[in-house]
Amino acid sequence: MWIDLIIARCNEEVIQMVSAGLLLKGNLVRIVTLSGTRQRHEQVAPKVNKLELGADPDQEAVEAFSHAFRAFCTEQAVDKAVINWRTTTGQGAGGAATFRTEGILLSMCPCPIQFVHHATIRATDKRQANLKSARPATADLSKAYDLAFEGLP
Amino acid sequence: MKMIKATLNSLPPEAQRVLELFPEFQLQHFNDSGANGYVLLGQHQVLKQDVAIKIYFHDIKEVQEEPALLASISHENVLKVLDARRLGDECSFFMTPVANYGDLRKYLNEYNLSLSLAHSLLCQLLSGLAALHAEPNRLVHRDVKPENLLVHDDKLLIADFGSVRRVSEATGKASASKHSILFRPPETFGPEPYFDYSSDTYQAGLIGYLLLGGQLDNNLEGYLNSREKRQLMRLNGDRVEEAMFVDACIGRRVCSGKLLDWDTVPCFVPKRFVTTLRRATTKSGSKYSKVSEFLAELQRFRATMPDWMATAAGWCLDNWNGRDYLVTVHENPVRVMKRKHGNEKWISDNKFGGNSHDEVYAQLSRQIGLP
Repeated sequence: MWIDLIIARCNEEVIQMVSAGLLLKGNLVRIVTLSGTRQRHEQVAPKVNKLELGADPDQEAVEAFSHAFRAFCTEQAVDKAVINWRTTTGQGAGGAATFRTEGILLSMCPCPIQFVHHATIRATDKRQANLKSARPATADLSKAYDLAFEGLP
Repeated sequence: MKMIKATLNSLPPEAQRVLELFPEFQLQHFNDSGANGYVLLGQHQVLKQDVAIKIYFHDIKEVQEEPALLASISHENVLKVLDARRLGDECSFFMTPVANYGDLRKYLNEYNLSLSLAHSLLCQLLSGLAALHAEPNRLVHRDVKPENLLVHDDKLLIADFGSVRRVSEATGKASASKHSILFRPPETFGPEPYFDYSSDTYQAGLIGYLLLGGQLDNNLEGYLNSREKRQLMRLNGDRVEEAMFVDACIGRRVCSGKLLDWDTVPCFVPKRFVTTLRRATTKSGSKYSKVSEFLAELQRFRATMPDWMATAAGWCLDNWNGRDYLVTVHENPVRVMKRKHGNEKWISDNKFGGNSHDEVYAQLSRQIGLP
């Protein structure tokens, strides 16, 4: 009993983080931002859940995208951005648009970026599925939530 | 030389004192139009850079907030401070780089802005505001208006931090500012006025409206309806009462969302852009609560936004699927000219024609698939 209490106290003392899960899907970036720890977290800024680069972006469109993403990270004090690991070969490999979006994010993201493989998310689901309490209902946002969850301590 | 000396002698003593303190500063222009101080424009001979020195007055015990705030924020769209000093107990000054196009009011009066540039400047403004709002700053500007925004090489800089306040962590609010009535958001009127992050986004929305060509007349009495004008006449020339009455009338217009005339925004501005700005400038509660929400909405349609610009010759659309289009404005019937992008010579396109710009624009929009 007292061991559980100590573990619970230790978990509470883990530093709170703000982790943004970014699901790259062609020109779209679906975003879920979580604040807290894996044990106890909540979604922040749920209204900012999508950024769109457009099919054929020019320099100004990239600049606007960059302003929007950086302002979001600054305003929400995002500590870490977690991106889905882009498959390079085989079926469903990341296309040119995803590649471009990933490059833009890598070049201008104001916080550290972590890449997470879908196998890692599956492994987490096996061990900690019960902790994923705030998962959104829609498919894409659910995947972005899984990514953000991986970024939490 | 005599003339320069005479000019220097005519400066206020505070400005003369600054020039004594800064022998490396070469004065080129003096501006005393500000409400609380003076601005000296000139060149820093050591830095080889054009700089502005702002002299301002404050209470004896007042902490010099403005330069300290400016120095604490490092963002490409927030004006930087190069130096700050006290001139006396009630007067201080600070030095910043000069913006080569001056303030946004002057810029809007002198140049026609393309939609793409207007969008970019608005995004930059919001980006700078995000830096103010972010932890640990938690600042609201409270006086975002064209006169307080500078333009330097297509880059927008937020300046004049005299009204900046820190937002309370407990309430998420700061006290309301009573500056610039036309730019005051609805929540600053009424019995419990306040200012929060969404109030800055409201003011940014107003800037967006002006960037798109929307009209906001500085003649306050022009906003009064005929009944209000009659009531104003009955006040018998009492200046203070008149000003309070006009402010109250404008306050009612702001609170009912009737201040802005969206019909003055040209019809070529995409509906999505207008809708986004209307939402930013609506009543408290339904407007964007955070800058990032506003920016996320703005950037979604940027890639498909046509690059229109209102010029002296007409409305010009630049490089839409490899072609430029011109809708003439001074001719009746209105015509459409087109050319291959990059060519100089326009040719008339007889497919389009009509008596109003809106009608011709609608035809063109359908034909070339504008959003």
